[in-house]
Amino acid sequence: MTRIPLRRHLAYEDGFSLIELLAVMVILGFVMTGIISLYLSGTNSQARLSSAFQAQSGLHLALDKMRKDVHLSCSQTAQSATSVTLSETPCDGTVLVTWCTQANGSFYSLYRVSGSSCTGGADWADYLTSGSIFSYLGPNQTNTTPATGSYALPRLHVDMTINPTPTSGSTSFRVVDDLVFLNGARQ
Amino acid sequence: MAMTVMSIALTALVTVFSAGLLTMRRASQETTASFLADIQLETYRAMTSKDIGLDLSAGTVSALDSNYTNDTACANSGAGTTCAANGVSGTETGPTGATPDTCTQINAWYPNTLPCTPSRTISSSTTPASPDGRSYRVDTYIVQLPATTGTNAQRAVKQVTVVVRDSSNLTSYLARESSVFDCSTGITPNSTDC
Repeated sequence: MTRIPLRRHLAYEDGFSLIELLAVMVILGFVMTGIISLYLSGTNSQARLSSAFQAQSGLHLALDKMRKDVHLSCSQTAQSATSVTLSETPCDGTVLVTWCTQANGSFYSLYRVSGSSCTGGADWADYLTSGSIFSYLGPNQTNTTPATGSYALPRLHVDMTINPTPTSGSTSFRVVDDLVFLNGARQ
Repeated sequence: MAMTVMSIALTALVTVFSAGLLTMRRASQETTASFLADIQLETYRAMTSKDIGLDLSAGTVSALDSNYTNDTACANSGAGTTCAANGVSGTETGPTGATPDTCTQINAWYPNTLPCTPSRTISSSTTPASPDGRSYRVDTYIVQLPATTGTNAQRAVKQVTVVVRDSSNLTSYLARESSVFDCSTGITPNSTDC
């Protein structure tokens, strides 16, 4: 193998032609575009999934808390599609807890408030698509009709749908649950 | 050389994203499964104790697969036997009481959760639909544990275990919850069932 002396090598003025440079830049452009689009796509998917997961986890915590409140409550003192007030122990009306929804931009948020009015309180879940989430099922009642003979305890029917990224329908998440008033009467 | 380095870098990038997405998806599925287990178990809290039981008719039991019968929840802790070894009807209980209600009647009372059905699938096409649109299987096990005497004496209780599985991978489970129901907390008014 012939070795070119360094001084002589450096003296060469041969470089890349414009065509070679353009070809390299075009190829590099294609490769970089692919990598960047892959990166952005991955980041977007991760952000969307992360947002959906956080909203689901928040809803899970909220439903658990609400379940405990309903289990421990003696009765409900007021109820509408957007709000329910529970009378907690000692059951003399002095300890009231209200779960309610309030508009939050184009969505609704779920709040837990000490007292009977839906003012202030702690925000437990966001991105609800509707504020009307509550309905009351009395003793011996199913979701639609009386269930004579079931002796079912009264329940709070909750129907919540969240959608943290509305542009992507796949993140919609709907939970339907009947929370039981364990201190209610069987009839 | 440059191509090799670039392909390795790209593969690593794709792998990292895929792993992250799969982990997130699995966590999301477990959260959904936990929701479903909570909802299923909540139904039994509303019911009378005598109605807490499963449809053990021959047709229903024979349709249960080995994923159901081999589960540890199928074991009767009192007898130390398993569903797989002894048959579901030998270890699990149906509705009890002097005049038990039928499973058809009980499921009609609670149409959203069908508490008398041992195994059911929830998907985007069922009512109510699966929360996230994916398909899950909810397996319920109800075992009557006998009364015990002595220092830790207790009345007979019904132990309910709910196991939620991914319909596309039934061999493992996503969520498992269990609760014990004493007949005195769910007694039918004016009855002598407890």
